[in-house]
Amino acid sequence: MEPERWLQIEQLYHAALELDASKRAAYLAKACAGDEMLRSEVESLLESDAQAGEFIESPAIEVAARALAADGQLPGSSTSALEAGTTVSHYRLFAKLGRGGMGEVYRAQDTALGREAALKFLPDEFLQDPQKLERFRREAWSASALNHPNICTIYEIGEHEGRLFIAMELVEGKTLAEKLKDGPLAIEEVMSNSRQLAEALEEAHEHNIVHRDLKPANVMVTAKGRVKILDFGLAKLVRTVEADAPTEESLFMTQAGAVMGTVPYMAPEQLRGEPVDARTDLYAFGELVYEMATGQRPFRETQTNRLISSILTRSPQRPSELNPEISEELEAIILKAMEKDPVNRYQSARELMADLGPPDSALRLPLSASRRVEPVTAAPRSKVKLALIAGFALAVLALLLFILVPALRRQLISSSSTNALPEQKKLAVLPFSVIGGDAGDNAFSRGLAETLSAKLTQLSSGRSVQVVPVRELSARHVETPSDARRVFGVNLVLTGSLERAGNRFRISYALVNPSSGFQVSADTLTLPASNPFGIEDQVVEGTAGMLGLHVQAAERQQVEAHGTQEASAFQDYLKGLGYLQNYDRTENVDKAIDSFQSALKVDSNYTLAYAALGQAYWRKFDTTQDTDWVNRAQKSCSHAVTLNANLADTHLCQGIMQGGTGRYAEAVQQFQKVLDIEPANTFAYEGLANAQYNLKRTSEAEATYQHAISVRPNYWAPYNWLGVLYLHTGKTARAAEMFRKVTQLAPGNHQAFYNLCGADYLLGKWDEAEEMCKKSLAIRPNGTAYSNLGTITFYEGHFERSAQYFDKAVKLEPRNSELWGNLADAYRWSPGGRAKALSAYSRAASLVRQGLRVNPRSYRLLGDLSTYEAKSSHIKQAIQNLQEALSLAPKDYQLMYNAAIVYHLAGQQTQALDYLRRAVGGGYPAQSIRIDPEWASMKSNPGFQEIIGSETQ
Amino acid sequence: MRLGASSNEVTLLLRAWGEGDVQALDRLAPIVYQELHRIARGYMARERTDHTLQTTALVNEAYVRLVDARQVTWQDRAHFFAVCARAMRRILVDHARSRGYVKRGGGKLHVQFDEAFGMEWSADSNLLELDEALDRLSALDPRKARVIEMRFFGGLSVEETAEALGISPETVMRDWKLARAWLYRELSADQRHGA
Repeated sequence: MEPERWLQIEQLYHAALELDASKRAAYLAKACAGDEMLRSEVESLLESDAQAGEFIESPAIEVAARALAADGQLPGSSTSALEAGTTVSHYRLFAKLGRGGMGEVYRAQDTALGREAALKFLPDEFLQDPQKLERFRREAWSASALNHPNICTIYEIGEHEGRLFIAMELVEGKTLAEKLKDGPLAIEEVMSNSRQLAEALEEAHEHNIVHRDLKPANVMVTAKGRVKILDFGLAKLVRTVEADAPTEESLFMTQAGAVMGTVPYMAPEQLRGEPVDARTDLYAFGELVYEMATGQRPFRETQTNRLISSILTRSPQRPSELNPEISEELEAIILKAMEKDPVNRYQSARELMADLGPPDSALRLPLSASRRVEPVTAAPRSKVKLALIAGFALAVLALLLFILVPALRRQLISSSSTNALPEQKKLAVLPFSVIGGDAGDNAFSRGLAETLSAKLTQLSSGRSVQVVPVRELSARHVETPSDARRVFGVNLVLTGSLERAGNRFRISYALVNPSSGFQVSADTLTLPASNPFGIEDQVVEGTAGMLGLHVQAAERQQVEAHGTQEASAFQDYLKGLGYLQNYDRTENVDKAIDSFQSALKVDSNYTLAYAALGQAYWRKFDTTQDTDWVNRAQKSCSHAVTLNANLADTHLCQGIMQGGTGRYAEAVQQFQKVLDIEPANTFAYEGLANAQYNLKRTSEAEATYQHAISVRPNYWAPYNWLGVLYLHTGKTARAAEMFRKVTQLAPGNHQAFYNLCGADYLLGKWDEAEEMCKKSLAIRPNGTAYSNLGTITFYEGHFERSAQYFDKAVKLEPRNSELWGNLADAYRWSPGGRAKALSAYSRAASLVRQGLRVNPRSYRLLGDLSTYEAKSSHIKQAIQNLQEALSLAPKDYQLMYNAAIVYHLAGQQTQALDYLRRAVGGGYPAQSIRIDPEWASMKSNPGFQEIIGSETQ
Repeated sequence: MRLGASSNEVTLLLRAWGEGDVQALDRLAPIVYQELHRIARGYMARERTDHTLQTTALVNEAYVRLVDARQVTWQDRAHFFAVCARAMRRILVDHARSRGYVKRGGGKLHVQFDEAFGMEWSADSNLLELDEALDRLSALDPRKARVIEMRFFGGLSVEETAEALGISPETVMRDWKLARAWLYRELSADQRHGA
C-alpha cells in the first residue's frame, strides 16, 4: 500500500471515530468522494475496532504466564516444620509423627471437640495449581464420606498460613510395613487382616472411591488387631502432582525414596498407565496378603525397570512354597487377586469376601477361586447373573400381579426397586410417546420431557443423581433407552406414553434400566388435558420417589412453580420448547415462535416464555443471518430479565445472545448469574467457559470446565470441552486424557473416538490413534475419522491405503478442498495413481478458487493453490500464485513451506532449500518434513540434511 | 549469577545505542533476552497462580540486574524497556512455537478434531498469528507495530511507550487504536477464510 494512501486511511479513521456512530457513514461517503475502496477500507477498520472487545488489551505475558510457569516449574517442596504447641485452625499440635510421601504428619488435639486427631500437611506444590487444589479438595471431600471401622476417617480439609492440611482420625498402632520387618504374620492374623482389608475395600468401592496406592505403609494395625487403611482416595492426587507429564521418569523416579515403596504394589495396568479401577486395588490386596503370609514380596527385584518387567510379565512364586502353612484356598485367592489381566481377577471386593468366607470359617468351602478352569469373563459374572435372574423373576412376577391385582403393582415394584437402583444414578428423560395425538401433542410431549428433565436436575443437585439435558439428547438424535445408554452412558431412563382419550390424558411412565430393558418402577396417571400443571407435577413427584429422592418442602415449592397460572399458556410454552428441540428444521423454529407468542397472548407476564422466545429468535437469526432477529431476540431476553431476574432462563437467554454477538464480558456476567441460581446448569458452564476463552482468560475457562465436571463427574460433555481447550493450548497429553475419559463415559459417541485418535496421533502414538479412528468409524462412518486415518497411513508410507481412506472422506465431505488435496497426494505416491491424482488436484484447485472469490487476499488459499498446481505440473501458474501469496505474507512459515515444495517441483533446488530453511527457522516442524515422501529424492543432499538436522537439537 | 554480561557492559551498550550506534542493539538484545527469560521462568515458578504476573515487574528486575542506574539517562531507561519488549515478544513467540502448535494448511496433512464450539482465541496459535501479522504491519507502518510490541508484548504503559519512541502519549493512543483494529481485522480474516 502507498504511504499516502495509508495516511489518508488513518486520518479518516480517526476523524470518523470522533463522530457519533450514526453519523459516520454519511461522513465517510462524503469524505471519500466516490472512492469506494477507501471507504470500505476505513469502514472495515471501524467495524474491527467495534468488535475487537478486549483484544490484546492485557499484555501477552499474562496470557502466556501460566503456560511458561508450568514449563519452568521445578519439583521441590519448601514446607518447613511446625513447632509443638502451634495452633492450627481449631487444632493444637503435639509431636510430629512422621513424614510420608504426602507431607508431614502431626498428632493434634481438636480443641473444639476434645478428640485427638492426626494432621497431615501437604507439600506446597499442591497450592501452586488451583486445578490440582480443587481436585484435591474434591477427592478428599468424597473420601471423607467414607465411614467404616477399617478406614481411617477424614475429618476435614483446612488451610493454615497458605498450607493445606487434612485432619484425620488418629490411629495408634504399627503400619503393616513395620510389622512385616519381623517376617510373616501368623496365618490367623493374615486371615483376619485380609477380611478387614476386603471389607474396607468393599465399602470404598461401593462409593466409587479407589485407593490406587494400597501398600503396607498405608495400612495400620492397632494393638487390638484392628486394621485401618490410610489415605483413601488421596493417592491419585499425589500421582497427578508427580506425573503431570507422565514420563517414565516422573512416574517412578521423582520421589527417590518412595520408588521402591510404591512400584512393587502397583498393578500391571497402573504401570502401563492404563485406567485403573476397583480391581487395581484388589491386585494390591493380593500383594499385601502375599507379603503378610510369606514375609516376602511377590516380586523381589531391586532395580526398578526389572521389577516393572516382572510385574508385567512373570507369575509370582507360589506362596505355599515359601510358607507351607498357607492353604490351597488362600493361595488360590492370592493368585486370583494378582492376575495380570483385571478381567481374570476378582471383579469386586464382595466377590473376594465370598471366597474369604466369614470370620470363623477355615476356608474349606468350595471356592470360585480354585475353580480355575472356568474362563472368567469381563463382567462381574456371578453378581450380574444373579441380578439378571432376579430381575427376570421380578418382571414375570410383576407382570402376573399387574394382570391380577393392579393395585398391588406399584407397591411391589417400588418396595423391591431399591435393590435395582444403581448407587450413582445417571438419568435420561426421553419424550413420552404420544398415542393417538397430533403434531402439537408430540411437541407438547417433547417440551414436557424438557421441563421434567430440568426439574429433576434441580432436585438432583447435591444428590447421587445426574440428569442428561434433553437438548443434548435431541441434538444427538437419541430416541431409545439403549441409544441413551450407548451415547451418554446413562443407567436409568425415564420414558412413557401419553394417550389422549377425549379431554383426558392417560400418562404411563416408567424408570427403565437401559441395559436390561427392564422396568425398575412404573406408574400411571389419568388427568384432564386442561391440567398440564398436574401432569408435570405428578410425574416429577412420582419419579423423584422412584429415584429415592426425598423432596424438601422448599424444593417442592420451587419445582411446582411453572411461571404462569394459565393452563393454555403453559401448554403452548411446552409445545414451543418441543418444536425448538428440533430447530434444524426451519419450520419448527417458526412454530416455536408462534407457540411462545400465543402463550404470551394469554399471559403477558409469562417470563419463561419471553426467555424462550428470545432463544427462538436467536435460532432464527442463526439460520437466516438476518440481524433483525438479533434485535428481536435482544428485546425479548431483556424483557424477560426485567420481568423476573431470579429465573435462570432469563439470564441464559441474555448470555447466549451476548456471547453470540461478541459481548463476552457481559455474557460472562449473565452466565454467572445463571449458575448462582442453578449451579448444575450445563449450558451456563459451556457458555461461560466459551466467553472466558474468547476473552483470553484461558485458565478461568479451564477452571469453569473443571467445575462443570465436579458438579456432574459422570457427564461426558465437559470433559470433551476441556479436551478441546487443552488441545488449543498445546497440552496434548491432557487433551488425550480428557478424550479418553469421554470414550469411557460415552462409548457410543463417534466424535469422542476420533478426537482421541487425533490427540494420540499428535502424541506420536500412531497405532493407538489408528485403533481409535477405526472405533469411531465402527460406530458411525464419518469424514473426520477417515481423514485422520488417511493422514496417519500416509505418513506411515501406506499410500494406497491412505488414498482409500481419503476417498471415503471426500465422499462424506465433498466440499473440503484440503481433503481433495490430501487424496491427490496419496494417489500421487501410489503405484499407477498419477491420473487419479491429477483429477483430484484439479478438484481441490477448483474448490480453492471458489474460496478465493470470497477472499482474494487469502495467502493461505493462494499457497495451497500453488502447490496443487505445481504437483499437476503447471509450474508457471504455480509460481505466479505463489508470488502473489508471498507478497501478501512474506514471512508466513507455512507459506515458506509451500514455496519450498513449488520450487522443488520446479527443479530449482537452491530456492527450494532456501525457502525450506526459512520454513523450518520459522517453526515448521522438521519431523514432518523428514517423513514427507515429497523430499525423498533430497535425502542425501547435504544442504537438505543440514536444514532438517538442525532442528533436532 | 549473571550470565555473560556485567552491568557495566549493558550500560555502555545502552549509551552507545542512545548515541546512535545501531550495532550496540544487536549485542544488547541477546543479553537482555537471556536475562529476561531466566527471570521470567524463575518468577513464574515462584509466583502463586492467583496473582497476576506483571510484565513491568519483570522488566524492572532485569533493569536492576543489568543496568547501572547511576550511569544512564532517562532515555536510556526507556530504550532498555523497548529492547525488553522486543525480547519478550521473542520469548513468548518461541515458547508458543516450542509447544508444537502447527497451523492448518500449508500443504501439510493434519489431523482434525470435533471442536465442540468455535474457539476464536487460542493463546498459542494467536500469538504466532499475531506475531506474523505484526511483521506485516511493520512493513506498512513500523511505528505502529512498535507501539503494539511495547504495549502488548512489553507490558509498557502509554507513557513509557511514548518515552521510548519519543512521541507524545496522544500519538501512542492514536497509533494503538488504529493498529489494534488493523490487526484484529487481519486475524479475523485469517480465521474466516484461512485454513
